[in-house]
Amino acid sequence: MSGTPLEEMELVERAKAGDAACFASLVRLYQDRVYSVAYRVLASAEDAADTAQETFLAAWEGLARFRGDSSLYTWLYRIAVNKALARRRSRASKGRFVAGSADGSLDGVADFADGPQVAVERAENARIVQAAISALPEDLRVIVVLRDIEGLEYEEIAEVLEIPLGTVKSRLHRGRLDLRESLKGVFRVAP
Amino acid sequence: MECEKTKDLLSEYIDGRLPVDEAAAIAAHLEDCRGCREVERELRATISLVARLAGKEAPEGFAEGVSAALERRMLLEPPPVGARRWRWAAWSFGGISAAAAAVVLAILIVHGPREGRLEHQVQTDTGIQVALREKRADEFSRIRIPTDAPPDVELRGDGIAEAPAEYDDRLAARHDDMRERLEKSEVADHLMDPGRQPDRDRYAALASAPPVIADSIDEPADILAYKAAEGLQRVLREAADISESPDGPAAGEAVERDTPAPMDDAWIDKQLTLAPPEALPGQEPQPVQMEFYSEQSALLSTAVFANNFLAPESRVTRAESTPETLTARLEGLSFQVLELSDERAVLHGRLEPVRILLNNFLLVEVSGLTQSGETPEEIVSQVDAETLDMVQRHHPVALGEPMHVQYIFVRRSAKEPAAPQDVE
Repeated sequence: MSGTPLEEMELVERAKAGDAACFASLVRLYQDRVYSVAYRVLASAEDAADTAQETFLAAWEGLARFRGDSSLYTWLYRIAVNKALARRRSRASKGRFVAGSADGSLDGVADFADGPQVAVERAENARIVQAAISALPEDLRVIVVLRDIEGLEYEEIAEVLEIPLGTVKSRLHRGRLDLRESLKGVFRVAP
Repeated sequence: MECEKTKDLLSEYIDGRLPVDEAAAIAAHLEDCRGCREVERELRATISLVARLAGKEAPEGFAEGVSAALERRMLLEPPPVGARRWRWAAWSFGGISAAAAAVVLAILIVHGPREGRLEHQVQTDTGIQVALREKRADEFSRIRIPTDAPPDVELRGDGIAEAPAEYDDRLAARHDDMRERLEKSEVADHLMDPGRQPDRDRYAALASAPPVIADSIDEPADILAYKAAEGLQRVLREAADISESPDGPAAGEAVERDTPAPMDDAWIDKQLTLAPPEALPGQEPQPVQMEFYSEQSALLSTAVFANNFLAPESRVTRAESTPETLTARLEGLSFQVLELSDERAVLHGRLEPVRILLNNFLLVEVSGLTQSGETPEEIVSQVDAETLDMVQRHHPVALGEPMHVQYIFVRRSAKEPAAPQDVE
């Protein structure tokens, strides 16, 4: 895993010194990753946007403690995952959460390159996959999201979640096996 | 290689994480074993399906939204700078004498099943603004200390373990109501310079700001202590800037300062020296009941409370939360301990000269308001009527007079729901 690039470090330093414009550049740099992970954990665009915003505000507040030992994005991922899980727990305790009630039905719809039929099927698949991810236990879901959607290395996941590498491996595998069970019907007919 | 072992390693195999020989062994097994081959194929298909979800983009205007939220927040506090310099332990009762620079002293009260804490404070050279904001429920849930925490766990408000499920439900149910109310009164009070008109637009911006999110990932109490210290530091810096300014205070600014310059660490430490609660003749202590969540013993609750004020090295652990240790540490904090048992603890402190209790969440003490020569009554008179009304509706507290407060911790039974203390 690479450390934080120099240019980015400079943005961080300047943001630390109170330069909001530099911080905004960092936000633009990482907003998609932060939003995406929140979205996949929460399966709600609205909650994901709120969570992503919370993440960056918390990052701004905590920037003084970011020393560049780890990558900025693993640090951001950590905040985002924690915020998303906290939100999800609070939502679940209010009874609002319904597994799989993702508004992710638009996933992939824009891609009509293979024709509308395929696009619709993909969107439908995306919805089902998201629902299956949402149905995973929290500790497995986060790891699957970080690995198979966000593309983090095992070591990075261990750093984000502050758990041992062995735990990352076992949870990822369990998560994938669970998903495989729920998705059997999908990939047999997947386009 | 056996099927069992192969299946266990398939994820790592697919991700290319295995040593060459192990990967070769698995490849060989897959070659021979149809069952395992099927699992591998399905796993790969699964991974590929999931991977198609990649590339979700933040909504349009997201970064601008963050900037706007930040801007709202920066109205209240400048960005973090420098290192943490002051000890949370210094932030306690009666600590600040009538120093020349106006100093805001804030007290964190862990209260009810939630937390209440100082969010931040802002002070300018023209007046004092104390802005209090509440934290989100999902962060409250991070600061619970269960009674079955390991003995060496430090009893601090930063999410050591989970509370019972019914606590969550109760919290959630109460929070909806709480949040709505707090959002309306997010900015608790603004104590303005007498010569300056309150800036209503600014209040509106503050009131519409999202709840402050202290980074709850680690050590929220420290972070908040840092913020509080940061606020103080700034106040002092600004005071120093003014006193060093060749023009002196701006015209119309009712500022009198005899602050020694430079205000070094020793001077600041002196301002933060704790004072024991002095007797207030003819005044009965005002009870403030602190109810922690179910099954929390009064001793543990007291320890959690005290630890918000204690320096890291003297914080009380669960194993240490005995009457003896607690009494000793609390005396160091200028609390008088009137009663301390597993069932009930009563602490005695003195507040002065302005106290604002907001929705049972926060208690702020503003002291040393000599900057403008205002009396506490005058300051209170500038708090907007709605806030005052709200404060007084919920608290039997007379604002503006020094008083004694008793902090009472009681053990609650597991099943008993939290008393809705602040429901009209």
